[in-house]
Amino acid sequence: MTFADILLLSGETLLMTVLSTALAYLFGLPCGILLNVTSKNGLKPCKWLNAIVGLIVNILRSVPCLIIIVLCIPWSRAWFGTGTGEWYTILIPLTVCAFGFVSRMVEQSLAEVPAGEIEAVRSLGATDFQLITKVLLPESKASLVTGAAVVAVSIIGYTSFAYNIGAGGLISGIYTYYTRHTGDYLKQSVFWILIAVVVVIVQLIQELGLKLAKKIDKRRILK
Amino acid sequence: MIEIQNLSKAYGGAKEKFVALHDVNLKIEDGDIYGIIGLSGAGKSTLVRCINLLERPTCGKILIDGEDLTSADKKRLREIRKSVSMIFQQFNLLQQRSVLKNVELAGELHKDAERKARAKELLETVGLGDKLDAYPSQLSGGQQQRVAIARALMTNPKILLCDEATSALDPETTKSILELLKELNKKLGLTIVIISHQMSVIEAVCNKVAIIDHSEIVTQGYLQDVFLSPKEPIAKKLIYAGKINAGFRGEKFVKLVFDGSTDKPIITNIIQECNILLSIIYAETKVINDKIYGQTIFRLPYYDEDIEKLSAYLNENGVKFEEVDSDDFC
Ligand SMILES: Nc1ncnc2c1ncn2[C@@H]1O[C@H](COP(=O)(O)OP(=O)(O)OP(=O)(O)O)[C@@H](O)[C@H]1O
Ligand SMILES: [Mg+2]
Repeated sequence: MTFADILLLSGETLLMTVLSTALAYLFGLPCGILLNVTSKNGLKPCKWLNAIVGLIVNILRSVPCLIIIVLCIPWSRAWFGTGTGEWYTILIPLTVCAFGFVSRMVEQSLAEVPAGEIEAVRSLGATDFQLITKVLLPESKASLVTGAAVVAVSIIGYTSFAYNIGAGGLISGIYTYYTRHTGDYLKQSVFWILIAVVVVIVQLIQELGLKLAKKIDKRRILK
Repeated sequence: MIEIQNLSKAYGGAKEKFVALHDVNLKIEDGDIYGIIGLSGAGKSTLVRCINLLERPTCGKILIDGEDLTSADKKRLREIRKSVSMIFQQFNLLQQRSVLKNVELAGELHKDAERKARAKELLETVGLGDKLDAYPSQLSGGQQQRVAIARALMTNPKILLCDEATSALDPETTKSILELLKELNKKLGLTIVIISHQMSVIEAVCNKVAIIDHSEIVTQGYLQDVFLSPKEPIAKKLIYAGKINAGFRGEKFVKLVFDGSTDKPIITNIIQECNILLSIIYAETKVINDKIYGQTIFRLPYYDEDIEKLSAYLNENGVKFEEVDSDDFC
């Protein structure tokens, strides 16, 4: 395994992670907003809608990721022409896997916005839509960013399943390496280097997320 | 003008119904600084939140300049909310926005192109022209409340509702915020409704007051009438609470009320001319609407002839007095 190989694998993993996270947020953010807004203490409580959406999210979250990946193969095949074997065939299943998680994370972040702030802006004559765009989202931005970092880290974990559909990436690379060197893989420096790269990527995402969140958060500035 | 008619509000479902307001009727005239006072849980916040329909009443009407809020549609309600602003105990500024952006917000909501200039102007008015780029977490409580006031004024309101707006502030800062409110009332003709559980706050700025107790308005009227001759037990409790030693329980008192109509030294004269020795239990002067009012409470003289002399003297001089029971005060 050469340096270029490692770079390629890392690139695949990063691409999978970033794209799936982005896609999961594309759908999960609106869904999380919907869950928050329709909840009992939300802007527009709506029991049945909240229950239905909540149920879908819960079901998606309780199906193990590997099962979702298998279920999504026909879908990928229809869209990409192939359901396995390419790095992008993991995108749909990862997005589906993370979607429920993202929805709940977003719902939770929005719930942290103090009710008093919402009320104050409502008393100025804001519409519900304005309350979402001007209060809920901006006021929870730090929490949303932290949440996104957590989601991205778990999606890196999910990219392990890329091995099962031959979609590549670092983690499946490590596993493949093991299958080829079952006798002495623990003694191979390449094996450890690959693991170190995964750890560094995870740490990087986590640190970047936290740093960014801290930077944009205006709540706790030293006086 | 705000007219509240037969307003009731119940929380919870049929099973655990809690009546927070019961058949409230109030009339608040333009230019009033109207105080609403009551103990914790009496329903003050509920009442004031009904005035801009943050809380929807169970029944009854809220008329603002004759228009019933409860039958306004959503769009109209947002319009009306522009003319009825509100400030809160916890200030409720958006933490992620700078001071200037917080004040501009009201303009953003209503697509006001001049919002930046106006926000700056209002921040000057409240004395924070040098804090435009600060964030709420960098300000003291008093400064945050000033920002909240500026924000509330952005929509050009006719009415400002204040729910315990000074309760989180120290006495000195409270005073300065109340001064600011008074000034806005004079300068802009702003009608102000002040909710508080502190007598001193109401006393400092209001011209009228209502007392709310256990979900009902117990009494209402001009400040001097309610404060100088409280009649209902809750009114007496609120006004004299803690001021008179509980050790006097069971005794008879006389209360004199001076309303500035005599300039004789009444107390001195009672002692010197009527030869009655007084033991004063409580005395104070209040400045209400720029007039000085005073009241003195002392023990009822022991001998009947002294009591007669005393009442003759007071009647002669036109000083209001009444015999009161110590239990009302302690
Ligand atoms: N959303 C709610 N659901 C149920 N009960 C409520 C709700 N809001 C208020 N109450 C009840 O209504 C009563 C009046 O509450 P309110 O907040 O108006 O009191 P308050 O006079 O403002 O008291 P405080 O001085 O403590 O702020 C309280 O007993 C409270 O428990
Ligand atoms: Mg209250």
